[in-house]
Amino acid sequence: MAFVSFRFIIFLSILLITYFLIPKKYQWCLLLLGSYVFYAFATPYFLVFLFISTIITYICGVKLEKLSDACNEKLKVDADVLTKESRKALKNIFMRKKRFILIICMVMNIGVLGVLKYFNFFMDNISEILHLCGISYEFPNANWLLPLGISFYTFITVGYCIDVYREVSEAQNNIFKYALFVAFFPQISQGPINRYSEMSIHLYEEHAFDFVRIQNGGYRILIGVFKKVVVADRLGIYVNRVYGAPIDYNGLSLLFATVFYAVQIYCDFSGYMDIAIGVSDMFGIKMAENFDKPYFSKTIPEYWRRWHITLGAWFKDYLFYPVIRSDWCKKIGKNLKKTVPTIVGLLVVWFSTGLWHGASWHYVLHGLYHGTLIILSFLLASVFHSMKTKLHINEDNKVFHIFQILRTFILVDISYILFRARNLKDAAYIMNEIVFHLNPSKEALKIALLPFTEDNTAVAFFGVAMLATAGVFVCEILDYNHIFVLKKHKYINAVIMLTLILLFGMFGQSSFIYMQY
Amino acid sequence: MSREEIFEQINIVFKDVFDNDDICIEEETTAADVKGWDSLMHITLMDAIEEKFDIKFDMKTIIKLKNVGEIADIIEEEI
Amino acid sequence: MKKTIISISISLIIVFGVVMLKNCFSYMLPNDAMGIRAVVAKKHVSQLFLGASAFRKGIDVKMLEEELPGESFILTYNGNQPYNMSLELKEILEEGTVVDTVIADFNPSMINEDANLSDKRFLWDTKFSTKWALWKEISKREDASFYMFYDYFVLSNNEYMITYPVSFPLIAERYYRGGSLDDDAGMTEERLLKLEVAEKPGFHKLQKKAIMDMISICDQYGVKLIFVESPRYIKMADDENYQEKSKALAELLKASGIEYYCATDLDFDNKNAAYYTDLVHMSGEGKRLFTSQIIQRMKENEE
Repeated sequence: MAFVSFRFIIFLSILLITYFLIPKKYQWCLLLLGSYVFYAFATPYFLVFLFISTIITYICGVKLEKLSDACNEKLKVDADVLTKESRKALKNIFMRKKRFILIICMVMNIGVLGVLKYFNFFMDNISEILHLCGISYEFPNANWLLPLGISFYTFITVGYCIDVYREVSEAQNNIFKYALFVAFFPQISQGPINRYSEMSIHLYEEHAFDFVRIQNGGYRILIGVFKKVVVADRLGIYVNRVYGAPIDYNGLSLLFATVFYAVQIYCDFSGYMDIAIGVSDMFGIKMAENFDKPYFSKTIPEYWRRWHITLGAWFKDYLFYPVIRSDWCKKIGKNLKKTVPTIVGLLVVWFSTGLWHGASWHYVLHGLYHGTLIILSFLLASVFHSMKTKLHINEDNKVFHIFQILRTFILVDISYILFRARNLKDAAYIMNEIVFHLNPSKEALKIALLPFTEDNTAVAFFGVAMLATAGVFVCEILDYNHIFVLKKHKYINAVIMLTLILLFGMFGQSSFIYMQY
Repeated sequence: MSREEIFEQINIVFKDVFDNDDICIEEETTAADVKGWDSLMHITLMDAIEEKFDIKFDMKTIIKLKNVGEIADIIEEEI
Repeated sequence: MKKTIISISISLIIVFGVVMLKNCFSYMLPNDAMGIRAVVAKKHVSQLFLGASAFRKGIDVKMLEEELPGESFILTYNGNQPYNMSLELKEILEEGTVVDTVIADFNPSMINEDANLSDKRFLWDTKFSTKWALWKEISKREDASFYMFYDYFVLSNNEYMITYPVSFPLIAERYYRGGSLDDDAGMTEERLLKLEVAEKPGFHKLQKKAIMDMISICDQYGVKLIFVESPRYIKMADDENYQEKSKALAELLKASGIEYYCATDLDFDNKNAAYYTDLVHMSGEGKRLFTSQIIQRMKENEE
């Protein structure tokens, strides 16, 4: 069920009231039931996939921990007898067993995601390759839907297994408690991609009724709803029209749509996070933050530490580090330059990040675009440093910061063309029009405002969209400068936001962008 | 090797990896205290320390390390 | 707890206040470029063209001014149906505006529709009683929902309201006496033929009654009523459902003794893509030709 809907309000109210009425030791059980009900409302038939993923990774976690415990026990018992070499050999034996279990679990889990999400993409590409070889054959396309949140919960469960394998986290021996961690409803459809070691601290605790905590959760939800229904969905009307048929719009419209999309996707996704985290906070459960004013980043690497934080952290800990620490990568580093393993690791990660977002080459290109920028910033770090020294640029200078922030935003916004366009052809067309056929003029500007409503009320719509967007970013600018407007004047802010939501909310559009991934 | 000597050697590695002779690490020094110590440089740093002390960190260590003091603890255990 | 309840209450009171003020008094704000208020402000209109966007884009008011006696005005709202048109006409005439001739949009596309509102400006321009009358009909629909009610009374026109000092002059400069000043280029035949025709059959009883109401109120106030069809591009004009509805509308008007001119009665070449920006709306060239043909007809009628 959509977060912004009557149904969800009723669901949340019933769950919250029951949560604080029942004996505290059963609170986590209620959350488990509520989470499965929430999932069933969205896609009842796909509960089976969630269930299978939960069972497989639960068993994997338990077995891995048993092996780790057995290994540690043996090392402890035979501590006086074992030499350094024999300790290493014993560890290796257990590691091999653990690795085998982990690989089976990952293949099954990621395999399901792979088949459901990438089958058509894979088949289409095979057809293309055959076509290039002169063989004309079209593989049939599968018509299946994706289970809600499969990209997210697969990563959550695989991350859990790897953490247990590495002994970073303890396994959960109670299958129902583990099932709650996987299916916890605020995180299930769009993340954040939480870590078991952090979530488990509060997830199974007993939580007393605390009105202040619920009020703060509600405030956070309000911020999220404002970003979503007043800003994101409003700009989405423009973006959907223009990106839906780019050849019908002028260069200026395409530029506006690209900039608006950056705001739309941020407010949509971070708005969802605000709602999810606010809801979770109400129950006394802390989830990881996923955004930290990303459009105030000074570099692309910094942007990815502030945007979809948990996804970046997941790829760093579970793909990037293992790849560049692997023996084959180290061999490359020995034989070629030392920087090559890092480059290889980054290419693997950003190819995967692109692919994670969708089964299409324009998503992959989006990932590789960012990967290339990060590789370049890594390789040219010393060049940039000496340039700044030669030009006497003070890195702490505020004007220089503003330049960096604008530059980073432009680079990110270019990538959104790849991300949002229907396909590569559209993306190329849009880039071409923006760069070579902008033709700004008063008349072009008037036409460029139209896609909001396709009539003369577009001007008014544009005005409100800009005011609402400004509201969001002024708060962030103040926050960036340590003037915490949102934290200080909560009651006035709440009145303003609720009033604006009720008067300017675009309630007709209810689904969130990242639910499709 | 004493703990002071370990810290001395770690400091040399830091100066080399971050190309900055002014770096002076302490027990509580974290990534936030050293300019440029991001996730990419973290691995470069770990590789350099492994090479310097002829040890091998496992992934658990690399991810969980909070400050330089903990790096020194692991080195003391391994050597 | 107390502060939270107070905050929510304040917000709801503000929203309620804004909504009441808007729904009851929005029509009083100056609006002399287009819409009902602009007509009412005129006090006397010789030729009132009443219809939907096809009329707004398809009629050149400056040409009318040069050739026809008195003042002409184009009153249009997007997706204007006969029922909405009857409410608009009623409000104008009851306000005391004198209208000599109403040239209504002969628009077969709208006559099968249930009560609907495509253009929220209608809500801004009309008095509460008119708004309520339309809402009463919309609420009878099977798909009527709370969200529709909310959108209709609470959400509509808030953007215009909050940006009024800037929006109104910017919008107004694109219109003259309700007619659009745009001079759009025509489309190509290839692109026009790719556009979909989405005509459904039927003659809804609400729209039938509305046309009879228009005839009756014009009769009551001594207003001459004529219907004129804005020529559709050939692909749409040839559509079976469109033709059937066109025939049904013509029969009703004929039986009621009302003068009407279908596109076929005018000498308009609806196969020429240059006259159209889509299947329904005219380009600048098409607008001038259509207007000249209306003027000719009206002059012939005078003689």
